[in-house]
Amino acid sequence: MAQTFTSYNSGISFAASKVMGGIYNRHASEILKIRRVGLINGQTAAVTGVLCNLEFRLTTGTPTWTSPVAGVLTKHDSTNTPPTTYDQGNSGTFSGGTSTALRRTNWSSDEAAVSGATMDEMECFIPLNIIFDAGYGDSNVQPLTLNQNQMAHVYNISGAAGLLDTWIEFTKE
Amino acid sequence: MASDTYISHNRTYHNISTSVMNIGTLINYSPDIILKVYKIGFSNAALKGFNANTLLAKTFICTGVKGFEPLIPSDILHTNSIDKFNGGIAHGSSGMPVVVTNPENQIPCVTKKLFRAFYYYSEETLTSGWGGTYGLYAKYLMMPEYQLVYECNNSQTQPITLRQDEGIFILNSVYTQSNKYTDTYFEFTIE
Repeated sequence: MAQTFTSYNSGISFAASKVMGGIYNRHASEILKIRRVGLINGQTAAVTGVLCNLEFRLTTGTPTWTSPVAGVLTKHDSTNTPPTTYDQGNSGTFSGGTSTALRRTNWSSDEAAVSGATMDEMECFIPLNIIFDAGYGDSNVQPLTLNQNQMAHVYNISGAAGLLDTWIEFTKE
Repeated sequence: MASDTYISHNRTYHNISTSVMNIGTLINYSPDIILKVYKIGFSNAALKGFNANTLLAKTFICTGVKGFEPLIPSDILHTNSIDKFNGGIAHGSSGMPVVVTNPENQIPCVTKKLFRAFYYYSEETLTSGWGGTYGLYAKYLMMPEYQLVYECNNSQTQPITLRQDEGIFILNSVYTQSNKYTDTYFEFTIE
């Protein structure tokens, strides 16, 4: 069983062309494997929401990701040792590489309200908003594997209102 | 061979004036055992007559939990009795820390890390019906599979592993309105 970690990004403001949560492996021999990725609506105060266009992407070809804001990294076992050379978090400046969209979701960035049962509130259910899950117990299926200079990230293409939480569960091997 | 498996299930009555309340806790005090948490969930337990509000509960993974007062034990299902680990585990809800200086410090630990956040709508579940906007969301919040905060569902990743003086707290951290019931649970093994 590989050392497992969760990277959590809380209250990330939507903006166009922004990394809302990502893992970048910079190490030559350590392999990071993305197991699960989830989102929830992070907006509580009233806001004029918009439709945001999110993609979960694999980016190869040595992309540039400078000055990311570190997310909260939790070791699933306190004896784990975090990856040696990598980045986890959100925002920063991202460019380059070759990106492939693995999942796409349109996201309402309006606040979750007490008086509704709309898309805004459905976005608060954790199981309904897991956008990538390779950890379902079938060892014949590879998780998303990050070799050196490869990145997996939730990328907001367009839409600039509201807040989003993202979490990424990954292993180091 | 399956490990001895337990469920700690809590029903918490929100009737507080502070802005942070512990609605579910599991702590390992023992150097001799390791707790492995496979599921964390919650559900709306308000039955009737409560004013609606939105709660924001944040689940923290904590280490260094010494200094926490005893918690209120809750139900245990599955095999064996929790009693044989007397003094080794604290679980339940509503326990509050010894020292409170501000809401953040009510989290009784040296190190806390936000692991999952979720919103929770606390309207009652039975009086509004499926067609009502209030009642519909509240009913979704009763469905256990919709309310999994965390699940380790495979053998390739680690469950949340609690060694000595490490614990999990589910903290309602935003709204202060009282008179709400929330259920939370932890499913874990002792190894």
